Amino acid sequence: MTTMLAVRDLHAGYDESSVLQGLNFELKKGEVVCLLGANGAGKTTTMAVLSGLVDASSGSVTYDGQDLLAMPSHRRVEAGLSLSPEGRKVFPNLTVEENLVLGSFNSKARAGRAARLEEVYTLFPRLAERRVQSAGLMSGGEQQMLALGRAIMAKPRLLLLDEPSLGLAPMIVQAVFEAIRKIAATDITIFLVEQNTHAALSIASRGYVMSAGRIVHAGSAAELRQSPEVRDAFIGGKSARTIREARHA
Amino acid sequence: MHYIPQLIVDALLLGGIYTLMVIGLALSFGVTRVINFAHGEAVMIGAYGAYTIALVSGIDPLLALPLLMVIGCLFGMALFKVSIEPVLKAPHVNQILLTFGIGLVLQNAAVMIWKADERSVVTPYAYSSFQFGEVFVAGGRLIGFGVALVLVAALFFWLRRTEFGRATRALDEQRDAAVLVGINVKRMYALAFGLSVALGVATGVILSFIGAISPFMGFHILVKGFAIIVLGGLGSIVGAVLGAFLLAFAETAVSYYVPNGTGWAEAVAFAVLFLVLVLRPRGIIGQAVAD
Amino acid sequence: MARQSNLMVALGVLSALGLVASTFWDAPQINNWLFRVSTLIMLATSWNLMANAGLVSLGHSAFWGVGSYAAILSANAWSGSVLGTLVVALLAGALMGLIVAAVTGGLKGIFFAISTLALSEGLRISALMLPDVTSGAVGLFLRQDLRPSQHTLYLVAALAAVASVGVAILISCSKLQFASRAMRDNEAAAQMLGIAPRRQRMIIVAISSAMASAAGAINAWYGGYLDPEVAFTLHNTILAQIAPILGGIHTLAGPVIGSFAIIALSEGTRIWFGNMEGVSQMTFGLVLVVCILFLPRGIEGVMHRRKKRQATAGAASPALATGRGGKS
Repeated sequence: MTTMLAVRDLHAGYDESSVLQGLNFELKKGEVVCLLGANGAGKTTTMAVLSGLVDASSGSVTYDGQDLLAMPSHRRVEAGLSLSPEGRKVFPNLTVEENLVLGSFNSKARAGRAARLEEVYTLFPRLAERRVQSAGLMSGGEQQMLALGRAIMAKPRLLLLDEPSLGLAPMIVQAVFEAIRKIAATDITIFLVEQNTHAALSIASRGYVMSAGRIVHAGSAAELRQSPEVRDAFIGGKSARTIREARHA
Repeated sequence: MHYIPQLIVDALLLGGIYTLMVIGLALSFGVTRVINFAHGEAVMIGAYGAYTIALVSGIDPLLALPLLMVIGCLFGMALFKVSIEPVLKAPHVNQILLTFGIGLVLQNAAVMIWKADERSVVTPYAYSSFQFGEVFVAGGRLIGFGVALVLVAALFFWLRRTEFGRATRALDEQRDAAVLVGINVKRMYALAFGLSVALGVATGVILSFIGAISPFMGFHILVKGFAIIVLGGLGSIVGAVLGAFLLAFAETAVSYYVPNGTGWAEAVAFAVLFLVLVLRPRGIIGQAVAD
Repeated sequence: MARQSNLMVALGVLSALGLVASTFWDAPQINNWLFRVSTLIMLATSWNLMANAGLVSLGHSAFWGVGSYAAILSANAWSGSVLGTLVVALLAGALMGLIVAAVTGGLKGIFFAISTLALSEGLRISALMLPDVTSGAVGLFLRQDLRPSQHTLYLVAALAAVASVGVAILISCSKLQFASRAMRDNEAAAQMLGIAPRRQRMIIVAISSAMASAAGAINAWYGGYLDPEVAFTLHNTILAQIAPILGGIHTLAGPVIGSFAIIALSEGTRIWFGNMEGVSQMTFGLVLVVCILFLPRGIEGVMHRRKKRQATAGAASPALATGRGGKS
């Protein structure tokens, strides 16, 4: 398998506080990989840097042989990198369909828009029922489906998913992950950030564990399920203390 | 006493022009979150553009309108790239003073080119008038209203139905997500700003044949525009339309029913502004405004 | 560092003395310039006080105009003296400031700017429409028998300018300074720090407004004539903001340096271009745009940078505090 994304010694942060402190990881084409870690470990910042919402301060990211950090956000989307953000961030006063259509705003995705719209509606029949409703009036689960659908509309080759289960009822989580499994069955590479370890490891083939801005552990899904580090990262023993120290430094 | 239908017609005609006057201001603020204190000067330049073309070549302002709007849009985009883009992340004070300074430069460039006295363009329709029953309608105002209506409708159509229009609304609502779907934010900012200037220019073209124009007209227009926008809710385009008609009705009513009303009508905008700020800072269509 | 700030204090005191002393010098043209510099220092310092608290005023002509009318009206009505009417103007200005601060309550930067802009326009129209009080467009003359000598007014203006800068220095040493800074950076954070922004804001706006009002009052005595256009002219709003911006916003010396520079600039354009309409205002607009884009910290910032470079070249450890730049 060829390398899709290679992150090398990545540093980034907001104002004076640095969040990512030398991040290293890799994704191969067609993989489903998850990134686990406690609150504040830097998962969402990682996603923000990859999508271009936050600038990196040093390090390199190679995407499909190109220097990702040198590309402006909209070029990244054109190149097939699409993020479904934490907290969904749908366009609240636009209709469901307008949200989806906007997903394929980039010039590479505009062709074949209608067909992809149908695919999304097949994947999430709920969205088809509400296509003329304002996105802001929908439930959290529906908004999550919309955010996912919008990300797919961009015709991604690498799909970044940030906390797709956040704040959703277990039933809905199941439905959302079922959809992600279907997406993964196409040739889209998926990189998934999750706090719901169980759900994440049920679809990922392998994963990374992140703490205080670094990868502290990596392994296959089966290994991670058994791993004490994974438990550690969530119970907040050693790693949580490291984070606190890092913040005060 | 005055005849109520006449008041309603007058207020409606004024409201249409007010709508066109502020909708650009609302658009550029909604998208870029920078208030353009030079918007009044865009209107003024539009008015002088129409005046000059009419003077030099005798072309009617309405025929010159499309060309002037295109020039206005390009000028606005260039102005945005050169001056406003560099201060997008600077504190508000910089943005406010910058656009204020640009307004000052444009205003006084106009003073130097056209002198400070008042002018107006005389068109065949400017002084015509129609009578419907007991209601009198000035021809110039009616035509101005019609043009304003067409342009506002075109803007709404553009926002609803086109790729870039949708992107504009997206950017207005959720900036991060707009970035994530691949919208080139800086380009959209420049486009929204350019369009806003073009709409201002169009307002000026209309004003050139329904009243007197002067290099200082921009300032009064700006203050009125603010009253309307604050009334409707900062950042809301629909609110701006509502605010425009409300202000038009209030002003017309004052000029009809208050002694010395024409003079006082000018003060209605400030009274409205202060009342809204005290009673309901979010305006009619409330939208929280982040600092 | 200590020696440097001592030098600054000495320079400041000397220029203050110089400004006051110059009023005894009999050179009408220079006296006139220095009079304009003095009132502008008051206006600019006043504007800067609000800007320090994150409040951008686009209506300083409102405060100036209220002071002008307060002075002339009270002088004519009660045969008041310069100092007596100055007190009236200060009170009127402070009251005005309190009202503005109360009305604009928790409004953020943009709203405050818009309301002050509207305020000055609203007052101008009101002054025009209430001729019983202000004589409207006809205008209002100061009673001839009340007119003091020009030299008295030069002296009053110079002393008032020194006093204004003194007030600004006192504020910069007081708790209000921290409150202002916190409000400018982040109002929510200021609230969490236990500073009540509303109260501090009212105090600052009242002081600033009274200061601008006093400048208007002194100028009204000097001119001896008022009408709504003169009293509430946009020109003063522009001068009030441009002097601190050019001199160095958020600093004590900035408004003073800027005032000298602006008066020099407007005299310069007058000499070069004669009285060609629009030229001086155009220059001000250009200065504003150029400063914001290229010199966000004004002349003071440039001097500071040069000093810092010298310090870096000379000293082993250039541990100078970096001032907050215009961009953040």
